[in-house]
Amino acid sequence: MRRFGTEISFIIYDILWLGCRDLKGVHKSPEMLARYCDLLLKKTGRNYEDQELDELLNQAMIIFKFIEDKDVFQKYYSRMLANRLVGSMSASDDAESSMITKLKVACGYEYTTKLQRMYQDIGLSKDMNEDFKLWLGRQQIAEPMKVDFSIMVLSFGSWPFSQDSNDTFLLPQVLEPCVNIFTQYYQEMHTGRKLSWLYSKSKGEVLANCFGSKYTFVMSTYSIGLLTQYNVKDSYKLYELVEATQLREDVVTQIVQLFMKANILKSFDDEDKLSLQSEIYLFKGYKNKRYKVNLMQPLKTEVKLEDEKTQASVEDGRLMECQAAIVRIMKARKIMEHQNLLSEVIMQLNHRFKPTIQLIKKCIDILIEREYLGRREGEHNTYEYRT
Amino acid sequence: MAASGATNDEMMDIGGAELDNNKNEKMFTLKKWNAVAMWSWDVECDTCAICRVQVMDACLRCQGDGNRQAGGKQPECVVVWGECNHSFHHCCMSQWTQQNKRCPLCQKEWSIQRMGK
Ligand SMILES: [Zn+2]
Ligand SMILES: [Zn+2]
Ligand SMILES: [Zn+2]
Repeated sequence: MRRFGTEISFIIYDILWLGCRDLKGVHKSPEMLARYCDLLLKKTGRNYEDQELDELLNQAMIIFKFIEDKDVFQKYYSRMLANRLVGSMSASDDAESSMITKLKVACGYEYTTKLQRMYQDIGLSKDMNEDFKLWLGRQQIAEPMKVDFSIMVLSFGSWPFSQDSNDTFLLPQVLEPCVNIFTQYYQEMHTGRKLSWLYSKSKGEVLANCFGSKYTFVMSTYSIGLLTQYNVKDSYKLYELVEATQLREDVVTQIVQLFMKANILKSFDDEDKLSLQSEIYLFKGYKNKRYKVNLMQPLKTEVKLEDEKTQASVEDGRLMECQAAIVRIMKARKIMEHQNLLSEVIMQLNHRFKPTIQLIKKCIDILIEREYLGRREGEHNTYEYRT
Repeated sequence: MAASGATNDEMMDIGGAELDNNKNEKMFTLKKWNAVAMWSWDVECDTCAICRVQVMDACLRCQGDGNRQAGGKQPECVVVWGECNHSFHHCCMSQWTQQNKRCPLCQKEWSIQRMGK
């Protein structure tokens, strides 16, 4: 176990000291710690024994105690957990849930509510896939599914993903029956719900027959939409790929770059100098030692968007948590003087983040406007809880 | 849905090309698809007008209570739709109707059209 001792001291140094030094990046240390946890918990070539891993996570929890903005850590942690779960990239289920328990012990139940709900969704989805297969066996379906289909249904709000509403995409025809049949099943099982599909997170296995050997490529649904165009002809101008997939130009460019890096597609233009007129052709001489190749990679624009969303959700989260704390306190106390309420709120939230007076005042105003609180008649500085 | 926007002509094109290719094996064949989808309540406005919290989240009072159930799942904090098609947290609306039997948004008499499940 000794080698972890040295390892961890470097990490403490990196996370805390570098984190503090970056004056602009107030949020840096929690983010770095979350990334470190992600490295430990993600399936990689070298994974730890259960006991080693647990020891490393305990050490991460020591660093966690020093971190001030625990809510920022939570946002980054939840985003990385989400990607591990959706990508089936967790090294160990036990380690994942034991880490959630450690966080719960350190920060209380609410801190891990959404993490636990994410975990629940994965469990529910497993059961639902079984149930869906049984249901399917009982149906007469005109246009059956031609692929081996499985699904994860996540509850919106618990996951750090949002509907890609401004993303256009022409779903490959082979997938239409999957979407239609599953939607029909889901509508029969539930009332008042709607589904939106996260195509960039949905991955498929594509069998390639056009190279020297048979390969299986794992890729996102957008990539599937693009690569299967080459079933029709061997070469396209980039603008033709945009038309055929109906994806945004920058998305198509990034996917083409990904295939170019993997040596599956080629162009006479440089990878970073692609234009709408670039000719993108299939490289029939593709070779790989591995027969199963993972091409599932988040696009740069997606990562950037997720970063921005994480930042925004920290602000939103603080507003919500602060309001909930005020409601909780006032519900218990009924009547409270301004200064006392402030210090009580700060005390309750301190283990999560340091709320500014400005933030608390803003939340009090919101709650007064919504008639959860009122100012006491004659005593402007005293609040009453309204039911 | 994303699949819309395809004109009939485009669909025909792709279909035709597939037929030609079926003579020999296709170059790229999709074997397996692991889809990811998100569900949400099918509401016009995703915020509850009574507590101003997103309807996908527990209502403000349920959050304040810090419901201790596993995973924070609060089975009764679902969405309810009125005949007027406005929707709220069921918790918020039950409290509201104790004092006022009208929809807070349109003032029509409140009667439940359906409950989320
Ligand atoms: Zn509500
Ligand atoms: Zn509720
Ligand atoms: Zn109404």
